Amino acid sequence: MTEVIDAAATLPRQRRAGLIGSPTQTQLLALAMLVVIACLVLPPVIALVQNSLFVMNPDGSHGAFTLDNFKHLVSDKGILRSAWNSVQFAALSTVFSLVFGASLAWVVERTDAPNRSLAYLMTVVSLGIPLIIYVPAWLFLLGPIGPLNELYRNLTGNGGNLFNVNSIAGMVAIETLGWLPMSFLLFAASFRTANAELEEAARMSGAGILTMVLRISIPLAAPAALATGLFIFIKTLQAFDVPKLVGTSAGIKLLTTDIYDDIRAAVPPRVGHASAYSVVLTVLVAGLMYLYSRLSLNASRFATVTGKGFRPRPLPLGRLRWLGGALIWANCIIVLVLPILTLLWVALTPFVRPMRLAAFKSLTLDNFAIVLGSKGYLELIVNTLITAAAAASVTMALMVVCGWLVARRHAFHAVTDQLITLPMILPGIVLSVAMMDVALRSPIPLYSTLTIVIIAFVIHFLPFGMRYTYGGVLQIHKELEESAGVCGASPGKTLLKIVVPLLWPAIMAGWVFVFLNASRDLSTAIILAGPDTKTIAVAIFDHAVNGEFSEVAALGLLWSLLMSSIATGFYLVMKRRGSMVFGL
Amino acid sequence: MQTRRGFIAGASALALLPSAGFAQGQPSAELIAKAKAERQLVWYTGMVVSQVVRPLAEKFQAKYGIEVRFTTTGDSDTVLKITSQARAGRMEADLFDSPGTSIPPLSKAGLIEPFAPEALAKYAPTFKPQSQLYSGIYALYLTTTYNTDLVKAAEAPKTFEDLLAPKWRGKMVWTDTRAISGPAGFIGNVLSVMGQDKGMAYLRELSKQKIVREPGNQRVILDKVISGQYAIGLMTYNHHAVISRAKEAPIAWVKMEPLVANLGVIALVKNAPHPNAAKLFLEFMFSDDGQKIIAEAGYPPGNPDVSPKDPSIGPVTGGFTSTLLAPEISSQESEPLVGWLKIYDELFK
Repeated sequence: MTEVIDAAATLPRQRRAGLIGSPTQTQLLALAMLVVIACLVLPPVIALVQNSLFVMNPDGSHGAFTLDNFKHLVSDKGILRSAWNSVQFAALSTVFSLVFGASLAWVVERTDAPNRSLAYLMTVVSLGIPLIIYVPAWLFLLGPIGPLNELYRNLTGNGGNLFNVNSIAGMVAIETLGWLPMSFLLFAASFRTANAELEEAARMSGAGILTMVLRISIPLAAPAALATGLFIFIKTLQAFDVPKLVGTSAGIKLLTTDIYDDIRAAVPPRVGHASAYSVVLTVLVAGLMYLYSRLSLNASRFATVTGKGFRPRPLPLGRLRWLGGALIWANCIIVLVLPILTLLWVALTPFVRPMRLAAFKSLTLDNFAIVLGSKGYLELIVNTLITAAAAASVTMALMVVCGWLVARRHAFHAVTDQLITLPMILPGIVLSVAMMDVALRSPIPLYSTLTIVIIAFVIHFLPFGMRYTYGGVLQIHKELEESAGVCGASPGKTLLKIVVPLLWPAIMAGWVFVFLNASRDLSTAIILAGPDTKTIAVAIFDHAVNGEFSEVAALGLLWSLLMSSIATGFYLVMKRRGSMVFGL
Repeated sequence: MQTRRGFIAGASALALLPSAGFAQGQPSAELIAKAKAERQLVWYTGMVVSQVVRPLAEKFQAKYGIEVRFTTTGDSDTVLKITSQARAGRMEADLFDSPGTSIPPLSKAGLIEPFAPEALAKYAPTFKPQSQLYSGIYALYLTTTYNTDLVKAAEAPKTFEDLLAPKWRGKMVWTDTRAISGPAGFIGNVLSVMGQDKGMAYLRELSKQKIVREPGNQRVILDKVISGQYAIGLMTYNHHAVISRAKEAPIAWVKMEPLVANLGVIALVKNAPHPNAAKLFLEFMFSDDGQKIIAEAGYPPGNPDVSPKDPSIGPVTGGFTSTLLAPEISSQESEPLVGWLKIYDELFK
């Protein structure tokens, strides 16, 4: 740590002059954040490394040193094939979610296309659907007995399928749809705050829309795209649910396929293999991360929010307006309408059956009645709302400060940034188990409280929150903060009066993202739930283990309806307040 | 100590008539007094909350004034939680239930307190092992099911040999789970019924049938048969088929004897904070009153005096034989399951 302090002290003079307020105050703030982040992140990361290097005893403690977990990773005969499948899967999912997310966000935030608010509705509702029903819904819809393949068989009269969802393509499609909302929200926040002057200048100089997009919009969005892309790439390389659920019946193996069994099926879970995989992955992507961090050196190149007044004006699409509307509708139908209709179908049928006319007679509300007939939901709902809202608020509050400190390269920025990135590599179960140990050993009673669930969520979502705030700060030119500093504002005041208002769209997008994702998370909430801290995840798990898919679908739909309404309500209120207070 | 062989109980083990004659005794006044002093108990459960857990908790609280605090967990969460609590010396759990899987790891870690409720006296021996490490709540039966729209009753496979018919190639599905209630249990059943050599020969033939592996539990697999994606489901629960059949789903189960019996069990945690309340709760759970709640939820209760809601799903009332795969052999880290999983990996993956 001393090295880092020295490094900060030897910053070039002009850079230090750029620090706001008295350098010591900012440094103190940076130090405080560093300590907070380290306390949150390091315990589970140490647990990860321990899990990968030491034998797990029957009582859960760590035993002798071993390299078996790493050997296991390479012992597989088809490892090259699996690795190639993994890279294909991750790369394609990343590219598609970036392209779709960015194009949708650009149309929504930059043009006068019709029905733009639909895109936000789509995002919020789809983020509210628990993954435990979202993935099976897609498998049903695209599967051999799904309506699309049935339609094809009826039209062509042959017995085959139009497409096989149990393929790499199917995996990529489903994974892409899962990341699209996050990608959209990140790009939308970035397009909203970015000054449109450059685009307008391009148009005035006679550039066509395409030229403008290629030469101005895309380069301006490049830092956000790279950061988001790298993030999604690493997360999809680690993903094991979708590859397992989609690929098993076709015998397609990815690097993570066996980890699914180790974590989901083995009792007790064998976290060693998953931990070793995370460690290897971290080393492999460290190079990429370094490249990425070099990128932000030239961050001011991308700052478009300056001291000059800015008021982004929507770009008139003219005759192409319908195309923008069509893009929004297409996204909305694919990401939201199709899976929701599928889930409704499943929830309304007494048992899972293909979508045929004959089946319409049997539609029933029984599954909803079963789900609503259970008692005790109020407690679960209250607990879930408290944890999700608290996790989202704490995460975004911390990440506003850290995003600013890191983007402005204040003291300890490098180490703070790296620490915040670390939870990205933590498999959910490693984090939950580590948190359980922390809670059990803590002198303050934390075990079986909502607090420990909230802390676990905060750690898990730190890197996500950072993506929202960091990208946002990069776009704000330093001159605004510098003038605040010149006028004698403390760093705290500068943050509150300058940075937060300008970052508001990114903060709201991040909040909604964390809130919805925390509320639909199953594994963390179940491992950390005590008898008095049950969340809705526990009820969904109960129905998933003991009931039919129809029941789970009914509960999941009701749940996402409630959560999406709350998130939308919050979003609208905060947007109004934001525009009143900050004039956005 | 029983040998491992003993845990793969013979085909008729569950059909044994219980030793009759024990009067249903009330729990001792001493236990009740001690339990009431503890005022509450904590139960980690994987059973249906609305139909089993909450009714049992409410009736018990009404009877004794002791609060039952419960939370839903899966087997792996149960093991993680209880081992962590033990290491930290802060035990929260008193009781946990399981389809058997969490018994070996927790008994290996020395975290189960042996206890046999008096109410179990009249139950068949399989429900009350000598080790007293767990008490059997109910036995569930895994067998072959088929989609009645796709397969006529007369053509449905009735025996293990029938599964080798070429027409079923690629049309059968089972779960990908490595637990004993998955393909490994099927393999164990075949080997214990046919013997090692004949059994292996059969399994090699069966592996040519290209059985599809789908991730998910047995309910998920059954739903895929009901939806018509596959014609035949292997290692699916007969009571699930009965529940779906009642909703007119096109599904039927066959008595492919012997069926595989899987015990649902409950156990007392070592150093439980409320041991007496927990013991009293177990007495209540295994009493006729408690078991009626289990039967009402659609499970075949272990209590011989309480009949299942649908008599066909139990071996005595339904007239079928079964092989019990007891919790003791459900460890994925020791024989015989390790050997069965090896066969599964080599032949069927």
